[in-house]
Amino acid sequence: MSQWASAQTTVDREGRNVTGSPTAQHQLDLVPDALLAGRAADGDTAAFEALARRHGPLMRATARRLTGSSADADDVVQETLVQAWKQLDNLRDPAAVRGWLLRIVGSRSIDYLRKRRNHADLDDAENLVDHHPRPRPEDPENNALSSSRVEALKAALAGLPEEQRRCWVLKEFNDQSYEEIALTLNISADSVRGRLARARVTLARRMEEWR
Amino acid sequence: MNTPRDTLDCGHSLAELSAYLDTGQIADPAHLDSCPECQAGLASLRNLSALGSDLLRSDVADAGSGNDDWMQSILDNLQLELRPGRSIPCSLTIRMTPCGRPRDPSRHSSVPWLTACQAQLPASADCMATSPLLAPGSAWR
Repeated sequence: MSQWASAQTTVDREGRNVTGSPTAQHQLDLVPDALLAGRAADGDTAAFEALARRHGPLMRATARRLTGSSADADDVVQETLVQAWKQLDNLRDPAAVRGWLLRIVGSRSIDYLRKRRNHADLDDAENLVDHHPRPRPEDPENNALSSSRVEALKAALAGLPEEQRRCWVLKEFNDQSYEEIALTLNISADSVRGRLARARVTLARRMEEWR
Repeated sequence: MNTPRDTLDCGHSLAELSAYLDTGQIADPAHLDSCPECQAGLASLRNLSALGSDLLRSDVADAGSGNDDWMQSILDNLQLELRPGRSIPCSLTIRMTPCGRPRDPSRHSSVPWLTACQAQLPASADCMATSPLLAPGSAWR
């Protein structure tokens, strides 16, 4: 029996996963994205949850960096998963499900920023803080140096104009093309190219100064 | 190494170099190999890109595992919305023969329960021609 066949789950008429035991969940962890996405598109909720667990941390990290808010980020992840579940049928290449999920995260995050701006004329996107700083591995100064450079980049990123920061995160975190970013932000691909370049020049300068 | 100005003495801009890193396209690729300014600019942008990857890794680690409570909580909320399951196309109009079989099964091959029901019905090849109850093309929903 193939690994996938042994990891299959059954969904009853109401769409409930009736064999979603922890063991089955663990086995699904080993199944490639393409198979999970295909099963999920057929209505397999266990396969869908496995995808959500696998890519959830990346989706959450991206949404946090884009919205600047942990609470909004979790809402974004939830809404992304709802939308993904409804639209999985439209995903042409199941193997590309990760990028597809990230594109939805990008759009939803930008929607959140727009909503927030409409509700209050304040930009708290600068206030991204580490609510749960992770323990640093015990290793030489290399790690300390690397992590302090990362901290310096966070500070430099927070100082960017919002439009530039969005372009940078959608490019570097979501790996979106200029055209995809243009669609997400509702601007031209040329504007994306320009903003991204300005963001990079500013960030590179700050990092040189920091060094 | 200093980060070069927006437009370099050689005439290239950092915007061009930035786009080159993403797309691999630039007007005169041969120039890049021989121009120290462009090389310095590219090196600086590549360093930044590598640091961006470090930041992403750090952010993903801070986001926690997909098996943690936060994801379980999201999935629990989602479960309410997923419970009805993927919708079967209810607006589908199935043209039936008088004996209860779809007139054109090949059109509905993507509806598994219909295919299953159909398999359990007795074959009746001539029912469409002989039944007076339904005119050809009558539809049941």
